[in-house]
Amino acid sequence: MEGVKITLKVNDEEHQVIVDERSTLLEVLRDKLLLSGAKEACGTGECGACTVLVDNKAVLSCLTLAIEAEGKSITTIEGLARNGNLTKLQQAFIDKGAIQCGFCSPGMILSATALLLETPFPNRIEIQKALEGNLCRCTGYNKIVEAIESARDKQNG
Amino acid sequence: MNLPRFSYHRPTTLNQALELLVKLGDNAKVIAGGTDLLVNMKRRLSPPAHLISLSRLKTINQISENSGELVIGAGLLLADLAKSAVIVEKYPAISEAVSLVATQQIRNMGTVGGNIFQNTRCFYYNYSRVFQKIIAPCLKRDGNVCHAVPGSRKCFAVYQGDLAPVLIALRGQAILHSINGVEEIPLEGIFTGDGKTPFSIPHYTILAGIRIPISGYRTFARYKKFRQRDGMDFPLPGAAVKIEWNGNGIVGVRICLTGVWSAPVLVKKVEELQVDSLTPPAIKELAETAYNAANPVPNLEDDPVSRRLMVRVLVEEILTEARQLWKE
Amino acid sequence: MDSIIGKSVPRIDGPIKATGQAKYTVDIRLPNMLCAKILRSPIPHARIMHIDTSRASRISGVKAIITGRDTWDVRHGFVETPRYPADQYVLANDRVRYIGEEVAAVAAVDEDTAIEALDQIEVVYEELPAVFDPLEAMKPDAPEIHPVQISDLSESYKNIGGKCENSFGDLNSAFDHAHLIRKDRFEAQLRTHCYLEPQATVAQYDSNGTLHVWTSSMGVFRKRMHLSRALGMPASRVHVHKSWVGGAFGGKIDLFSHEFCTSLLSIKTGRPVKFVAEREEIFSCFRHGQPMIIDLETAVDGQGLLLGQKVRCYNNCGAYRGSGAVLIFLCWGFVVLPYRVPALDYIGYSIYTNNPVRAPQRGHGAPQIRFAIESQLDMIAEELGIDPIEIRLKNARRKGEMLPNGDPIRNAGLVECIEEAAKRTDFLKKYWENTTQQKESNYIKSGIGIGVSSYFTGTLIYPNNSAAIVKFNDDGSVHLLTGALDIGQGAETILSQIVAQELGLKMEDIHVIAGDTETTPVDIGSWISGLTLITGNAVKKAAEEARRLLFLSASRELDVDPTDLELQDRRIFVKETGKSIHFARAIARHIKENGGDPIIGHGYFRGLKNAATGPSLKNAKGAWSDSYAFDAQVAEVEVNTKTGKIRVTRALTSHDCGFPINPLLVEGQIDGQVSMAAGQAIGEEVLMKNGITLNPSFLNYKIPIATEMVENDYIDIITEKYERERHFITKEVGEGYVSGILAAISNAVANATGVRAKKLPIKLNPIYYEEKREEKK
Repeated sequence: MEGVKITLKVNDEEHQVIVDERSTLLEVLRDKLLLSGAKEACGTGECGACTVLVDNKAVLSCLTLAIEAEGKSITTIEGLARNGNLTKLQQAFIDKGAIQCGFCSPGMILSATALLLETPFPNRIEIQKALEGNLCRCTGYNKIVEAIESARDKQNG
Repeated sequence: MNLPRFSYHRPTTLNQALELLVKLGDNAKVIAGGTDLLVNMKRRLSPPAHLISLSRLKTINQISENSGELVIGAGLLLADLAKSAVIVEKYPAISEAVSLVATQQIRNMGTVGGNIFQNTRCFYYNYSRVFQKIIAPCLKRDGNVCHAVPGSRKCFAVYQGDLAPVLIALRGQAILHSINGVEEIPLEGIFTGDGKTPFSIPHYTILAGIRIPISGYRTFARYKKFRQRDGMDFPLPGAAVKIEWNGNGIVGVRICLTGVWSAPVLVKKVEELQVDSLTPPAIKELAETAYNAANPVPNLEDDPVSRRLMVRVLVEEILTEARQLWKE
Repeated sequence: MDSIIGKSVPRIDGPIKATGQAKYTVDIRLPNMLCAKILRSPIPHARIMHIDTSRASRISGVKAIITGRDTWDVRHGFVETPRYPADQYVLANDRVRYIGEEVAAVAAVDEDTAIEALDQIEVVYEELPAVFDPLEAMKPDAPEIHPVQISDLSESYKNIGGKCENSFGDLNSAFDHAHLIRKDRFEAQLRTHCYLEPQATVAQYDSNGTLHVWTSSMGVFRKRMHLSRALGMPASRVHVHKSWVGGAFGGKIDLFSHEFCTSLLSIKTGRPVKFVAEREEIFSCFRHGQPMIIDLETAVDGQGLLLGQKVRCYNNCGAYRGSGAVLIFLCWGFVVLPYRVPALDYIGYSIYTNNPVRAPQRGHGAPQIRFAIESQLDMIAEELGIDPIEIRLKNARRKGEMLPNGDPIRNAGLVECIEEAAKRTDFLKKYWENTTQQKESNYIKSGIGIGVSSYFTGTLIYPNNSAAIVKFNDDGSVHLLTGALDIGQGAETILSQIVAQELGLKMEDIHVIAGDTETTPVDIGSWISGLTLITGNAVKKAAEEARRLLFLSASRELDVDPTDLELQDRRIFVKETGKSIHFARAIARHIKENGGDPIIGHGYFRGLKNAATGPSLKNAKGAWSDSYAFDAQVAEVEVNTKTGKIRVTRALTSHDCGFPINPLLVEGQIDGQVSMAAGQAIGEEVLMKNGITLNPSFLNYKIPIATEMVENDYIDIITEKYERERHFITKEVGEGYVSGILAAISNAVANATGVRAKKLPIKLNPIYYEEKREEKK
């Protein structure tokens, strides 16, 4: 079966992959690039576990056609840490107990990362609203919000 | 959950897109953000063999204001609409509505046109092929039966878009392009009121934008949305209200509802009422009129009685706010 | 020495989960792997007349198809006892009993091919009458789903899958002498777990005849037992591997059809096979929580002291027994636990209906029972003119009491829990203020409510025990081998803390190998609320033995008695002089003096050591648990009486968990349970009509989202402690906190509105308020 050759820039690296027109970005990330951080928990855009950043905006990779992601800058959870150094947000999630089963964590951390890039000093309501699209069943969201507040407060040193 | 196969077309101009639509006919659908269409395709709900992407069309993703007249490009991302300075400053009702649409991720992907043209929804429709094996295909699935309203020949799938009722309340005009040229019709004209085929415009037409005409009067417009949860929950219902004043009193009231019918409901009866000012009895009458115009059926979460009651509550709330402002 | 027990150390699996490195079953990829899909019954009750898989088999890319014909009539169940024999099939044999029951399974090269194959499998059904309501299903003229096998059923009920009956005391006398008797019916809805990681299994049958399995579960040893039995393979040939688990909450315990099917398909094809459930599939035909109808009749004296209760529970367990038979026993327990009940007449029925099978969900009966009892207690208090705090303090169990089955209540901080909760939240002041406000015209009402609950900590149901191994590496770091599975609750972290405490090590010096049936010893599992107690003590013992051996050789090296030694940071100190040696030296000496043997500590632990078996599911007799947790929880709500919308704004959990090993993790458990309780109270419900699930999606099943976060506060009531050379008693924290909050929310809504909910989820009818407002005018 013929495919389409595209170049995807993921975590600052360019990858040439052959995809179907119908391939979603989630499928390509997980099955071709073996980046399994983004998860499929529903497949229909309702849970946010597949969230990745495209040009620093949080999007649902399960509803993004891989072809449409060409030419854009994609960031997955695997691309946040630099040289093994976790971001302040990642560290805050760990320190504040914001991770339990961890399945929602990649999407949640990326949504929070996008929020802080756009709104460096969000209040609690803004944080909660930004996370509306990321479901979590383990934490009740309490320590997730605390972690983001903590990372927010650490941003200036 | 994968998508079915399709051929993907990526025109770079609106004309190219229009030509493709004519060439491919009913086998093709346009796609913008895909947050509604791709989900339905994953569920194999009338998936098209061809998709015509609108993502490369730059002319339709602008927003511009000329002498008080606003034109919103249909290709504009919802998140960009929410951030647009002119919307935030001058059109709070649109700002409210768009910032309440779904979730941040969806707003980062979905477009104005996509939100307006979202498919109607029903408990018995929005599920996969597997579900189709359990119950007989309903009217919207090209079957013979309605599971929500037994015996019905009409499909009651619900229209739940947030933007359309606001734009209709603001007298929005749909700017429609086809290979025959450009046509403008009031936005409410694009809806059929039928749950199965909710849109009346010809298949080969593309919405390029919405024109919000100048009012000339002092305007108050608001959108309120009721649902069990925030986030992805759709309006059940939503109400958009616009009031225009001149120096002496109220010149016009427009109320448009969503989530109560197979199309946004522009409450025509409101125009027949001669409302000069927002006295409490007038507010009550307006809210009651809106309530009477809503006729939901049991095909979504929340029973129809509650949904209908919320229409009155939301409209009353908006009108009470307007009354406060007017007194000042 | 600084104690690491009681410290909020960060989770050891935090970094791999924060960076996307943690591999869950859904992430497992093996070369040559096939995709499995399952064909499910579209009919709630039918005879299977004929299955023809020939057309499907001929599709290119289809590698194997199995049906009931291939499964040798093998049966399994959540319980398997003489009274309750296994009644579930891995693939339907000659009948289907619910929409979604597994009929066939296919392994193919990709998803599309597998789905195409399902479409081509022909099944001819002969439809049978079906019944969906449990009370209807009990009637003598109801369609028979299973013949009744319980011998002590004197009533002429049909479709009874389980019965538990227990009574004590003189209930007639209690009712005769009562100042007040209330009788109410309560109904708890069908709710579901919504674990984010879908059910998934990868099975690979290798050329040595070993079946390798990765499956999203709550305990690898139980899965191994089920699979080896169902497949007729020795347990030593079934290797269940560790994978991280994306949540379970009770929904991933016993055997699932897809686990069996992927295994058998791998055996048949010689290739790895993977099954991942679709979310709609999970919502519509996997196991949800247990709905219940509770008829509660309670007699009290003039001061609100409980004199006796008559309880009837009707559980709709679905088309097969599932966990219903256990649920109705546990419900008895949740009646007699937090309060003293002098006389009781309890019967619980688990009733078959043509619905998907149900399973435990966080609390497994406690949320439903406490909702009923706590709601009714508030109603009684109101009628008697006493406040909700007073009536609870009056009836709360205290230390030293004994449960009706003979289990002692070793320590019970319940009274303190209630008092502290009332104090911290300024309960009574708010309660009375809100009561007065009920009649005012403002439409946003505030409410405050309290709920009391109690939970058991582990019980005897396979596997009953845990074992652990601690082995020293030459440099003084250790490997901890434990069969425990971290399903999100932080098992690996707290077990490491125990090792760190016993051996004076830093957390990073402990490497955990967990949850693998081949390399780690047997473990009780993460589904019976006993991990910290049972596994924790096994780990403690293993570490103690390692320490003992270490001290023996260190004592010789340092020329002191072992009792003169202490350890910290990989060094062993003489307490008096401070002279020290590194672990490595003591280890090297041990190896030299013991003919090359390394230092390995083994630990074993079992709860209820004197009990031969678990409690009787038939009559609740017998030892149940070593330790009982208690809590009092307060919820504050805001009700918009125009719209009927309820918001849970704050919650306080005052709990006797013994002692917390990691307070941050305990808080996390509380947060999650408060959220789950809020969802259950306000909006969650699996809507079914005639066996069809109407809302099988995250959009339409309303679990709380981030904007519904509840502000939480916590009070720890410490009643136990961690000591050297003694097994510790602690109490569970993973399940018991749903019930108190659930009841508290319902009571808070009543405080705000004067409206008493007897059904869950609480649906306030705005029309009621419309009418009331009209009346006032």
